Amino acid sequence: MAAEANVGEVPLHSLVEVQEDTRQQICGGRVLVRIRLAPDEVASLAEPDPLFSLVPRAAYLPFLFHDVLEHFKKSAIARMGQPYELWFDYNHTALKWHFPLGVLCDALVGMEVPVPLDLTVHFRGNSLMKELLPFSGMADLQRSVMNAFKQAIFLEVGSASRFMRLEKKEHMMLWDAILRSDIKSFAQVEERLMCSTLLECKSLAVRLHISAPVHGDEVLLHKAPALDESGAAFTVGAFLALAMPPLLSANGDGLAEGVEVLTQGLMVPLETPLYWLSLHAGYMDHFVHLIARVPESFLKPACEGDA
Amino acid sequence: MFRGSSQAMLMSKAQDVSGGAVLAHLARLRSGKVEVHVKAMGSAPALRQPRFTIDGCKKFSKLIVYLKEALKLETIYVYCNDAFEPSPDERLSDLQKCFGSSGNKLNISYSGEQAFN
Repeated sequence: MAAEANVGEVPLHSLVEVQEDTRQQICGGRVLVRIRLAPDEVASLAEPDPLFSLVPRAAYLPFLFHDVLEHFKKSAIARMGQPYELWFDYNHTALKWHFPLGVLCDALVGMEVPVPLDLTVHFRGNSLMKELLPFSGMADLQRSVMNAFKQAIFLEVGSASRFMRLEKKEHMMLWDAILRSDIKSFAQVEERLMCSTLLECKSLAVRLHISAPVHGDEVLLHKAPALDESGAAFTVGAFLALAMPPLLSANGDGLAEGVEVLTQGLMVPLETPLYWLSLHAGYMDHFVHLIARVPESFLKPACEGDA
Repeated sequence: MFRGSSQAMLMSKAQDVSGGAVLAHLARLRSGKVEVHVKAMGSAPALRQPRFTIDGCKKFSKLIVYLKEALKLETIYVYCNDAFEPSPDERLSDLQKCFGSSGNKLNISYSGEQAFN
């Protein structure tokens, strides 16, 4: 980790650990998933074989839709001309298609990822999936991811004009890299859109997901300074103290009991500089997705007596 | 925990973890109204009331649905700062704090066709 005193002034690209290939090491992880068709949607006599897939953490669930459809459509209840509504659940939690698999995985299972991770696919809607954003095809995913990307760049630079000046072929290169979870090609376009130093950076792009058993999750978008007032790197701990103090212990020098913070399947030490995560652990929407796994009580709606 | 805790105790203990501390903090962060300034683009019809306020805790989807209904549009693309479309599940207060201008203003534009690529 770079620990220069003038970390705010050095060119941003010099802070990237290229030699060590750190970004690929952190973001290149894959998850083995085993997909079964929801039992109440099986029309064939025998339950169809599950589908196994080794999915990049950086990938989005709709990337699997084609293979899933091919594999299960013979066994699924016919829709009589109506389009299928494909979606997944994990243990009866509907999975959001607009976040990468790694984010879902961190929130649902944390560090201990089961091998394989069992997902259930549905070909039609039910009450579980009401919270999901509507999905009608890959164009919806492209729109969602590219807008998140643009939003992240806007947060850092204070405008999206650099993004809008990209040539059409660069736009295509970016989306193609996202489709293939190709971090290197992605970074080639991405680096041209970023600030040149941390001092120039208005805010880092960080989404904080707070996940608890039973109560699901809450997502907070909050400004995340790259540097503190003294010009030193702003840390994950400082960010949590700013954005969500209940995650920290009463004396503020550690996490509250039962809380863990992770990204890309890794536990994040509180002293980690946020900019370092942004350069090495960002997803392909250019956001750092920090996941705080908290005890159920943290997200329990206040009881009547407190209202 | 079955012990009843008084509201005063909860208020004095911001770190209290037994009463949905995260939810309480989110509610505080997102309390208050966001002043939305809306602008039509291209051939999209204009709103009669282009400035209004919405509770900060509401999702962006609430604004999209409101605009769709008020303008009687089938499809709508709603942008923040003439730049990007926020996800429908984002909170208006979060957007205002990250992208808003002076005061509690949030600049929104919309179009019947896709813009700002």
